[in-house]
Amino acid sequence: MTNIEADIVIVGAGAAGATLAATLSEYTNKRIVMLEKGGYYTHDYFDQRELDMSILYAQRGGRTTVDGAIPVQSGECVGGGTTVNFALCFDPREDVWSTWKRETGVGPFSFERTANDYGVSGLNMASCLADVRRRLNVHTPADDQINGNNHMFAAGCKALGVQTKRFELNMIDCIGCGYCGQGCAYDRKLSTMVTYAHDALRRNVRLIHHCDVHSIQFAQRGSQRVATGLTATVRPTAPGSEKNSVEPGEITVSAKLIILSAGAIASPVLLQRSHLPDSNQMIGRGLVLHPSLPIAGVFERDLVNYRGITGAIYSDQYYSSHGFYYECLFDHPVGAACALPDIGSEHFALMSQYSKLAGFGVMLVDSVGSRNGVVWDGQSAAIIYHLSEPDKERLRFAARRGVEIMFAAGAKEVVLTSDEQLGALGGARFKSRQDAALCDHMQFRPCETFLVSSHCQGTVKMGEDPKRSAVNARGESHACKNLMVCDASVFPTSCGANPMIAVMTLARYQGRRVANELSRYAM
Amino acid sequence: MERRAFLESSSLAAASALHWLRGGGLFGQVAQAPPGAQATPILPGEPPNTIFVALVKAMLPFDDQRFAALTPAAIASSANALFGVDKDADIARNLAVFDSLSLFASPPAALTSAELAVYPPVPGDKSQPATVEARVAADAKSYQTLSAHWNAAQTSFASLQLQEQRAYVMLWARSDLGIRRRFYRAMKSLIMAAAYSMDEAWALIGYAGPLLHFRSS
Repeated sequence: MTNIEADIVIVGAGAAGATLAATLSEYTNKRIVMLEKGGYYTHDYFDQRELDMSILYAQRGGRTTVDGAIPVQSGECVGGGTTVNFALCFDPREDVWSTWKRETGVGPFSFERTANDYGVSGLNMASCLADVRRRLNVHTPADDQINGNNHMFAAGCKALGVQTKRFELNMIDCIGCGYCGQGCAYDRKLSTMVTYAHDALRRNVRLIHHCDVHSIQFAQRGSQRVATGLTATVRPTAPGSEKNSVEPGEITVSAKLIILSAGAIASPVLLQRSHLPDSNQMIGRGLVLHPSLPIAGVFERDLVNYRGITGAIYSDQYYSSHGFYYECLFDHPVGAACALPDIGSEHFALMSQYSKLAGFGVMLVDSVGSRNGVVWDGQSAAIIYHLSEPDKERLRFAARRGVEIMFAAGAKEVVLTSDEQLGALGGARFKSRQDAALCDHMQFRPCETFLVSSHCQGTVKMGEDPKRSAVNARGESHACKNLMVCDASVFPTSCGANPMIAVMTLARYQGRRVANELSRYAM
Repeated sequence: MERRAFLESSSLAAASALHWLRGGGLFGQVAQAPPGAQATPILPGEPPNTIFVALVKAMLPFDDQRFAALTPAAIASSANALFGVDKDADIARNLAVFDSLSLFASPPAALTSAELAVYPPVPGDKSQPATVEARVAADAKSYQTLSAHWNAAQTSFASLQLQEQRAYVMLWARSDLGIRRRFYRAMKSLIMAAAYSMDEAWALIGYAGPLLHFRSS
C-alpha cells in the first residue's frame, strides 16, 4: 500500500480536471495530485484506426444506457473528452447561466469583465473564459478549411432559409486529416492533454493514470463530516501509454481538499459508491445527455467527407423555438457501418457509396427528467434514460426538417440511422423531400433507432437548496466538508450547447476561487 | 479466455454489444454467476459457429459481386480474433435462441423476464404493446405472416434461404420486444466492426484509410 500526501487531489484529467490542476498550480504552491482512470497516450500512439483508438473512450466506447438505446460516450484518458472530441467550442451561454442563477440561487458567476466575484480581484466568468480561449487558441477556421460536407450542409440550409454559423475550434494549423475522434496525431487539436495537463505537469502536479478510484474516505469532526482522502488501485500501465508516477497496486491519497472532475457519469457514481449521505436522493438524478440523431445523404458525386475539419458549420436556427442544433459530423467506416440502417444489399447500397455520403446530426438539448440518472447498485453503474414525449416531439420535427435540408442540398437519397418502418418505406430511408413528413410518425424505440450521446451533464446539480441540489455554487458538497465537484455534473440543466468550453471556464473559475480561499479548506 | 480479455479487445458499438451479450444478453443479467458457470445450458441445434457464419452472410452482401474480395469465413475469423465470438458461452446461448425458429413465437422464460426488467411498460408509451405477453403475441403474428410461404420443415435460421434469413433478421430489428432489437443491434455491431475494420473492405467503399504518412516531424 502506497500512501500519498497531498493538499489537493483532483479525480479526472479531462476538460475540468486538467484545467483545475493547471490553474491551482499557477496560483498556489500546494501539493497537487491528479488521478486519471484512463491511460496517458500522446500523439505518437494515435494510429487513426477506429478499433485501436477506442481505448481512449470509457469502456472502450461501449457504455450505453441500460436499455442499450444510446451509447453514452466520454473520453477516458489524459485530456478526457477533449482528446477525442471534434474541437467544437461554444462560449458558456449567458442566458442559461442567468436562468440557473435565478432558479437555483447559485452565484455569483458574473459575466461582467470588471466583476470581482468572492472578493477576488478580476475573478469572473468573462476573464476565465478569455483565459481558456487564449490557451486553447479558440478561433474560427479560414474559409478554405471548410470541406465539402460542411459546404453541402450550408447550401441545404440556405436553400430553405435556415441560418447557419461557423464553429469556433480549439486547433492550430489543422491539416484536415479527419481523425479528431481517434486523437490528434499531430497535436494540432489543442486538447487539455497538450495544454492544461501539460502546464500542470510542468509545475510539478503529480499525475497518476491507470487509476481506479474506489471510494472517498471521511472523518467525523464534531458534528461535521469531512472528506480526508481516497482509496484507489493503480493498474499496470498499458502498452503505448506514457510511464506512470507510481507502481501498480493499492494506494491511498490523503488531502485537505478533494475535487471530483470525473464527468457526469463517474463523479456521481464515486459519490454513491462512497456512501455520501444523500437523504434527498439528488446524487445521480436528473441526467441530461444531448441525444443526437445522425442524418446521412447520398450524393451523385464523390465528396470524400471523411477528410477535412469534421465540424465547421452548424445551425442554431431552432435553438430557441425547439431546443436543438444541427451540427456537421461524419464518421469513419466502422462507425458508419454500425449506424446506417438495414443489412445485406440494402446496407451495402449505402456503404458502397461511402465516399458520396454527407452527414450532419441533430443535437437535442434535452429536458431534465427526474427518472433519468445514474445509479450504482453495488456492482455496476446503470445509466437510466428515457426520452420524454415532448423531447420525442422536438426530435421528430428536427428529423423532418433535417431530411428536407439534406434534399435541398442535393441528396438523391436521405437516411436516418434507424430501422424503424415508416409508412410505405422499408426503413427510415427517404427517396424525395415529400417523404420527410414520415418523420412525424417516428417512435424512437430503443435499439431500433440509433441515437448517440457525448455530453452527459447534470447529475450532481448545484443549487443553494439542499433539497433540490447536491453541491453549492462553489461546487462543495452539501453533506460534507472539503469535498468539491467541478465538471459538467454540477450543471442544473443542459448548458445549452457542446459543453467543453463551459466546463473549462467553470474549472478555471473554481480553480482561481479555491486559490484565493485556501483557508476555507484549512490550507 | 477471461472476461476481461474480451473487453480489452472490443471497440465502440461493438464494445457495448459484447458487454451486453457477455452479461447474459437475451437471458438477462447473469453477472452474479461465477465465470464459466452455465446458468442456462446451450440449446441443442446448429453449432454456434454455423449460426454465426449464417448471420454474417445475412448481414453482409456476399451475393453482390463487388463484395467478393471478402468471404464469410474471413469476416467470422476477424470477429473471433477481435471479439472472441467463438469462445464465449453466453454468445453461443444467445445465438442458439436466435437460431431456433420455434422460440420466436414462444420465447424462453428468461427472455421474457429480461424484457420485463429492462423494457418495462412505460405509461403513455404508444410505440409498442404495454405488456410483454402482448409484445410476444405481436411478434408471433409478424412471424406467421413472414413464414407463411416457407418450407414448413425448417426449424433453424441457419437452414433458411438467404432472403428468408434477411427477412427473419429484420423481424428481430423491428421486433416489439426491446431485447430482440438489442440482439439485432449487438450482432450487427460485431459483424460490421469486424468487416469494416479490414483494409480489404475499405478498398470496396473508397475509403483511403489513415493519413499517418503526413505525420509532422
